[in-house]
Amino acid sequence: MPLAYAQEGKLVRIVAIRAGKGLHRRLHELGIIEGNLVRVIKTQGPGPVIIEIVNNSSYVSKRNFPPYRPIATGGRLLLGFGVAMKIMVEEV
Amino acid sequence: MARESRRVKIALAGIPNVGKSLIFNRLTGGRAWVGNWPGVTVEKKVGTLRVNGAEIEVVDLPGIYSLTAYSVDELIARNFIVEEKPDVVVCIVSAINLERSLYLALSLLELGVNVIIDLNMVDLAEKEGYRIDYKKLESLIGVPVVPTVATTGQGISRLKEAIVKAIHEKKVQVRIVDYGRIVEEAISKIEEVIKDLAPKLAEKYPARWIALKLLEGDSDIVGKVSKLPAGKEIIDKANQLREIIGKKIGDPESYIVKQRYEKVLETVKAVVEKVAALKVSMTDLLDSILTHKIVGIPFALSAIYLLFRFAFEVSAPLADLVDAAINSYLHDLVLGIHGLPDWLTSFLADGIIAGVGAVLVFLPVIAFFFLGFAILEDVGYMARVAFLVDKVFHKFNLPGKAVIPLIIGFGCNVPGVMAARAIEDENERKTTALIAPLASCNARLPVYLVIGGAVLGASAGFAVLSLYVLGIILALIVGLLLRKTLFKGVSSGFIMELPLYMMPRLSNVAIKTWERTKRFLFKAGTVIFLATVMVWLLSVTGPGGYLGPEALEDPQLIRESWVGILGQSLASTVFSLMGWDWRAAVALFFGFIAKEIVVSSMAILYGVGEEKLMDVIAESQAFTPLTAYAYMAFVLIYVPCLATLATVRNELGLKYAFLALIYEVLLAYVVSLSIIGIGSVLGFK
Repeated sequence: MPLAYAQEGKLVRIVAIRAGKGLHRRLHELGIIEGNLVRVIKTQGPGPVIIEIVNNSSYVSKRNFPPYRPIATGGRLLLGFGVAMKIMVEEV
Repeated sequence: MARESRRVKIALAGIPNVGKSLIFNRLTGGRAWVGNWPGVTVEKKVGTLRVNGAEIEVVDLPGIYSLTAYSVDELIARNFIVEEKPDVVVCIVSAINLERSLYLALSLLELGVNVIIDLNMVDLAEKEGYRIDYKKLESLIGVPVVPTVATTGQGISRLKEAIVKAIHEKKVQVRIVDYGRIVEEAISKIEEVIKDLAPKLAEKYPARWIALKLLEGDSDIVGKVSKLPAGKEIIDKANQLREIIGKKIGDPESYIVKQRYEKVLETVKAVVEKVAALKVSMTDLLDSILTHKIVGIPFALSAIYLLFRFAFEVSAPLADLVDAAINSYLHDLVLGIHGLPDWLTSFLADGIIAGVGAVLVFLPVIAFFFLGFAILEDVGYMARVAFLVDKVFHKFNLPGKAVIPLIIGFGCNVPGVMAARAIEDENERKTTALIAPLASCNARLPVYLVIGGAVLGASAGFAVLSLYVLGIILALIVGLLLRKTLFKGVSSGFIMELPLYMMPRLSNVAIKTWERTKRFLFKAGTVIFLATVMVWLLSVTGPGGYLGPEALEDPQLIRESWVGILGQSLASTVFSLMGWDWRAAVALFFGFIAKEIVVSSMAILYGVGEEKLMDVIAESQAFTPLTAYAYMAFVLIYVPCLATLATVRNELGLKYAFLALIYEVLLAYVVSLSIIGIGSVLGFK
């Protein structure tokens, strides 16, 4: 499923990036890497998304409520509709 | 020693939104001069840091994420570092955006740069519930780290000390990332070849870095190496190794970036300490409303409406004051000087003072508009607006970001066109710069108000609003057409750092307001000044020779000036279908120079002051409601002003300035004619 279709508030894993060389690299450098977790903060689904990259490391603590929020040291990114369509994700 | 013969130079680097300009101002006292980067017309800011009696030149590099050859800004930064060899590069790292910031820091270290790290916004990290052990960070990456809070100035003096210290103690960490055995072996092999065959290149760049870039397939470095005498041999070797390691690790470029990112994550994990349980943050709370699927857009429209109201209401007294000072006091002062020849008095009073005055009257409203905009921007709201409109803009093959030049264009089109620079993709940037002039700027409003007020009566307000909407709709349609023809390509991808909501920072707001307002002032001072002189000349002379300044007072006499003749021929030919008065046609001609001049030239042509113009137009019945609305639409669409065209030329080149001129005039003509055609069919008069 493209990231553009992911639901608000969901945690998703990036499975593939279908982009040209330049964008592919840019996304990697921003931390959008196959296998990483991403929290969808806002979406206009299907449409642009606001995401927070949750690293596979131990920042995620399920005790934090609501709903549960990892310590995000990575800041937030706004991805336009076009980009969000090129990133394939799966729900976790 | 060669070293002492040049000034000590440092550079500031950082990803977008880390407070780089604030740090720059804190270091240099805000006094910067602006130049262009060699070879490109991207502005560079340079200032002076004075510390312990020494003068250090500070260069502000563009906001970048990395040092690849894919983006112009990154290439600029990279070439600057390699060619100019700054003594120190201060990498500004955001404590609330650690990962991406550190990625850039590592990229700088690999390039063999003497880096010190300014860990900024540490206060915000604590608000988010964590702290960064900066001493540990220092030991992990082996360069000095100074925590700061740029907004309050905390830590700035320590940063200055660290800079001075680093100038004398160069630390280099090119081996900061370990890429694993397979890649490291390939790197060493290429390094050896480079040192053997291209020793000069290895002096300029660290050999390890070139080796890495060759493995990554960096187009700029591959190109530079190929030009060397031994280039082919080096490239062949690199390609051979690329293929070998590619079989084991997949695409080498992708692998290398991932490894570098792993190093970042490892570092972040080691230095971040959680200090507090998280509450729901203010940003989340605000975003639940402001970026809401349904209420988000209406809210944005209200915010922009409020921005306009704020600009007009607050600036009104100031605008009146400027008007009185220039158009009454200064004007009368010049008229009162005895002994000047008639033509000179008229030239000064009716040409220069009236012309430039007509423009300067807009200064307060434009300044307040940009002040309001800068506050919205600094608070973090504008990035959200880009998010809200992206879905709609996407249908027109434009990124959501393109909305920002359009909104700035509501204030003044000149900074609007320039704001298109922030769009990375070349085709999208050019398209946005070309459509930004369709945003109805403050200078067009008086034309709507005078003519709408005189002819449309109660529906004037609605008519004016409809023109703002028309401008945006046309911008999107023209944008789509351009993206389908001249600037083809799918939307390349719009990625933007989303800041947390923050209180507006005074110095930031002041700088942004001033930078945009000064473009308008500059335009009033140059293009419009020259143009008004031309208008005056063409009004007081005609085919019959010099008519004298009386022409400006006498509507009959001015018919015989160049201007009068031009207007009458325009009205009876190209504009004959529109049914506009010749004076209105002449005013349009002058409106090429600046829309502000439309109203003042009409006042001259009708032989009244601007304050009585509305009554005169209403009485003269020169317009019917339908022709008036068509006229207002024409004013909206055809060339905003010479200064905007000049800006398009600076940004995109002469060819595109012509393109803008031609498409806008044609579009204005077609739209006005359609309004009249469709209007008459529907029974409007």
